[in-house]
Amino acid sequence: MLIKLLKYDILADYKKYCAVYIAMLAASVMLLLSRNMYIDSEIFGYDVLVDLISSALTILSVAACVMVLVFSISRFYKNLVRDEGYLMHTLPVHTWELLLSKLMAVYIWTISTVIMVIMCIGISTLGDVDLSEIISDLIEFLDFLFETKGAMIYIAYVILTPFFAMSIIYFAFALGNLFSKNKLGASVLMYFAIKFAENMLTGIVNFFAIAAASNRESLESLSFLNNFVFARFMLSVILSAGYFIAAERIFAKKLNLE
Amino acid sequence: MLVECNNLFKNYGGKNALNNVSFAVEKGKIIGLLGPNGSGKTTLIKILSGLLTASGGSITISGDPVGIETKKIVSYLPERTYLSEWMNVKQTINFFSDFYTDFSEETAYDMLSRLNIDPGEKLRTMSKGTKEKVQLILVMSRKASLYLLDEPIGGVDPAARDYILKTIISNYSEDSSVIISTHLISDIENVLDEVIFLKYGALMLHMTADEIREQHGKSVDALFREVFAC
Repeated sequence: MLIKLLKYDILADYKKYCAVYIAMLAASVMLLLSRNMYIDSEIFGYDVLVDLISSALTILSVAACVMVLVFSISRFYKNLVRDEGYLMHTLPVHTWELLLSKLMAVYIWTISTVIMVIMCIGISTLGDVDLSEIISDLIEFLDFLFETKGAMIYIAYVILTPFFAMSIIYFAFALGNLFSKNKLGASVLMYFAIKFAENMLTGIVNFFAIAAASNRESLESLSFLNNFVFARFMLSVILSAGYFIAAERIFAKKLNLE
Repeated sequence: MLVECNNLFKNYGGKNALNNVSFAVEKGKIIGLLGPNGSGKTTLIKILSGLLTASGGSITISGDPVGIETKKIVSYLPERTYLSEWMNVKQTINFFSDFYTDFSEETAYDMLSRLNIDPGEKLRTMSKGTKEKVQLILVMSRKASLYLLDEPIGGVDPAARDYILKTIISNYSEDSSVIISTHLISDIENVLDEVIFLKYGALMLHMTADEIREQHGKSVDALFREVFAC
């Protein structure tokens, strides 16, 4: 059932994503062509054209990243909290499957958007950079990461960032759902309240971590930094898992559709 | 018994939406769930469908407490449009087919053609009434054990209303029951086997339609108007 849910979550938004991806690809191809033409041309105005297309590509790339967040939130709200929830919450599926399907869709769109941005950068700079040099640099960087103690935490952080970001939003929507009126406003308020509480908690963790360091030398050591980042990472994992489970419990037991 | 409901309570912020409601529903019955606005009809249907959790009491459908197993055999039509606007009718049929093993695509397409609804039409471009017809088609194309219809004929024209009622009667079988909540009592009176009256969340009356006519000497509609007179 999870795969079926995911299928419809992807189908719901794929046309919008494809439109932006096509626009990004077109802008990067245009940028490549115009830059190559500019090199061989003395015609006035080419540099302005190149700047314009370059700006358009940058805006589209940023918009694509923002789009993932906006569409994901909108999809969750419309599909599970508003009228469509009358259908989704009466399907013979577990509530955790409804939430996990939404989270998996976020990962799919995040990964595809990152790939598209990298592809567009690659296309627009084709011929300017040595591709083999970039690949060898990348391999070298990955080797460094895997050999460096603590680097894996940073990689895990990057991988889990969508989970950290979405679980708090799901929890805010779940809490907002408990209000009898203005559920959306209540959800936004809940989001800021949770975020404030989370910041307070991380502030306390930071304070004790720094206080635990015996002197300035140990505070600046790599092992302290690694342990500190690991502690923060684990705190994020625990909090986000907590938000996700709490959201699932609220939607399963305290669903309050208008 | 198909549905057994014992001492059911539902509280919303200190207010009793359902107050000690007990009743049972046998297989093969069409039951009218009747009452004025705010009497708890929708709340009761939402609890049966699994959208709400009761504050107290117990409820079973085919012997199971409300959950995934009961959702497999309950076909629920809410009072509002719940289909995704990005879909066309064909996609909604595929959706139901994917999630409900008792869904018949053949029945759905047959009902669509009878109501002149194009399977390729987007829900975004449809009128509210047509969307409601599509929803009813989807819900009635399941071979469910229990159909929960919350105001199924409120938003459609009288001609479609007749077709919908015929559909409800022709689709249910000896193994299934239909619970219909509506204000349009006179339109459905003739198809009802049993009637449940709810007032302020409490069950006021549960009788067969024939018993009402025999004991009270009046129609269900007339009795409703008398009981709930303002």
